Amino acid sequence: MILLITALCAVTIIPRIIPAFIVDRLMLPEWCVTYLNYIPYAALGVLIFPGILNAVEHPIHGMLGGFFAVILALLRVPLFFIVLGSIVFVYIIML
Amino acid sequence: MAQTALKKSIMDGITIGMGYLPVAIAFGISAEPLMSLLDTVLMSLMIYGGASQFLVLQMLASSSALAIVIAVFVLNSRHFVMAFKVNYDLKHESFLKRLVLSSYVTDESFAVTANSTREQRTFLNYFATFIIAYLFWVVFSAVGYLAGEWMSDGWIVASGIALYALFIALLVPAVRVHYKYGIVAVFGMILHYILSIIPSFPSGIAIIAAILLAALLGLILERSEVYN
Repeated sequence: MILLITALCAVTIIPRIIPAFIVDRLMLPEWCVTYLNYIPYAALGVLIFPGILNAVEHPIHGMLGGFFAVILALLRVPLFFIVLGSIVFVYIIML
Repeated sequence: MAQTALKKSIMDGITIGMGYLPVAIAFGISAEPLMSLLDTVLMSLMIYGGASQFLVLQMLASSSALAIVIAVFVLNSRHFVMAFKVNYDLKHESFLKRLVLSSYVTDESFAVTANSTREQRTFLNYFATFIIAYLFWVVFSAVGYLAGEWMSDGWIVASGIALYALFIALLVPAVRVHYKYGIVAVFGMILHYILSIIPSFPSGIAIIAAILLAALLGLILERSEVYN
C-alpha cells in the first residue's frame, strides 16, 4: 500500500511541477493564454458530467443533487453550505 | 494594499477548505472499510487530489496497482495545464517558489486563483490560499475516516455527491460573470459523455481530450467576438 501511494504521489506531482521548469523558456502567444483561461471551466464541466450519474446509487438522485447544488450556487450560498446542503438533500431524496 | 490582498488570499483558502471539508470527510468515510487510517491520511498528504483519490478507492478492489497508477497519472495530467497557468501568472517569482506552489495545484485552488487580481499574484498570497486548502483536505480526511465508523450507510452514499457539488459551486459563479464559460463547460460535458460511451476507450484519455477540445471552443468563441 505504501509503495502504491508513493508511486501515486510521483505521478500526481510530476504533471504539477513540470510547468515550473519550462515556463521561463517558453514565450506564449496571446491566443495560448486565452486558451489556458478556458481550461478550468472546460475541466469543471468534464469532471461534473457524466461522473455525477455515478455519484450516488441512482443516476437520477445524482442529477437531482446536482440541480440542487446549481440552485444553491445561483442563490450565492457559500461553498461549504452548497456541498453540505447537497449531501443532506441527496440523503433526504434517497429515503 | 498588500495587506488586503493577503487577507483575501487567506479567505480564498478558507473558502476552498470549507468546500473541501465535506468532500474530504466523504473520502475518509469511503476509505474506512478499505484501508488503515495511516494509509488514508498518507493518500491525502501525498496525492492531494479529490477525484484521483476516489478513483483509487473504486479501482482498489478490481484493478492492478499498475492500472491504478496509470489511471491516476492520466486523470491528474490535467493539472499540468493548470499549473502552467499558475506559473505563467507568477513568472516574476523565483523558480523554487513556483516549484513549491505548483505541487499544491488542484482544480479548486486553480479555479479560485485563476481570477486573482494583479496585487494577489505573489508567492505569499498563493501560498496562503494553497496551504490552507491543503490542510483542510488532510485533516478532514482523517476526521471522515474516524466518523465513518459510526455513520449510517445512507449518509455514506449521500456523501458521494460532495465532490460534484463542489465542482458545481466553483463553476456557477464563473458562468454568472460570462455565459461563454457555461457554453464551454456544457460542451465539455457532452464531449466527455460521448467519449465515455465509446467501448474500452481509456477514461483518463477521455477526460483530457474533452477538456482540451472544450477549451478550444472557448478560444474560438472569444476570437469570433474580437472579429465581429
